[in-house]
Amino acid sequence: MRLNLLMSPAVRKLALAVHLMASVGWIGAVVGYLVLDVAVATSTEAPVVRSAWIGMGLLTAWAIVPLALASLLTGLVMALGTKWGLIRHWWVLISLLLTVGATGVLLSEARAIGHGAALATDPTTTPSQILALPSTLPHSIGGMGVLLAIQVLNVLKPQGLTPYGWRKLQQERRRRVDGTR
Amino acid sequence: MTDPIHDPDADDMSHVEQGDSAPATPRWAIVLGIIALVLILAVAATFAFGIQHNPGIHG
Repeated sequence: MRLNLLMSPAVRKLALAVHLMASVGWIGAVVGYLVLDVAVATSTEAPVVRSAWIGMGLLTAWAIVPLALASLLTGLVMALGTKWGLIRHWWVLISLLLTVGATGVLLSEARAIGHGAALATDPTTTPSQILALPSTLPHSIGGMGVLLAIQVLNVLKPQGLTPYGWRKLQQERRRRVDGTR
Repeated sequence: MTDPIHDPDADDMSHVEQGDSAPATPRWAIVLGIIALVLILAVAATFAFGIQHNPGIHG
């Protein structure tokens, strides 16, 4: 028995809208984070760095992580609920792997960011301790690069079937030919 | 008669490869696939071995 998970056009458009909002929102939240991260990396004023760390902690916990998880989840729904499939086309498979990797790095990084934000929130933390906190700039720039690569892949949808996708296509063609006989 | 509106997000599979032999893996897929696998393995190692990670500190 074949399980039909394909969405109707209306549901697919709604799911696509939610997926786009989550994905583009994720990129926007990372842009905001980058601004604060540059302030941490370049400023020598403890109040600026302290407030930037607090902002980075809030952005990560309440915007970046939820949007990343929403983007991953809605991406899975879009792939499994349409004819694109999850592992039929290279652009879908690579997008999935990059999203899983970026989300994993984010979750790992979120602990360290939370630690920095907690130190910045603590009024007993001295200005020299605040200024000694290293920035996360290399990770946030790398993360932004990965997110932009995923976005470009999703917009361009470059051709290329995986071996699995090619086999499935052959099976469908054979079924169609047999059906017309 | 109006032209049909092309929806790039529709389930139109008409552009996919034709032919009898399996297509070769595109170069961009190999490059991005390696980057993705390195990312995933790095994260897996971080979680599996409990590597202490501090922002901005490498090595």
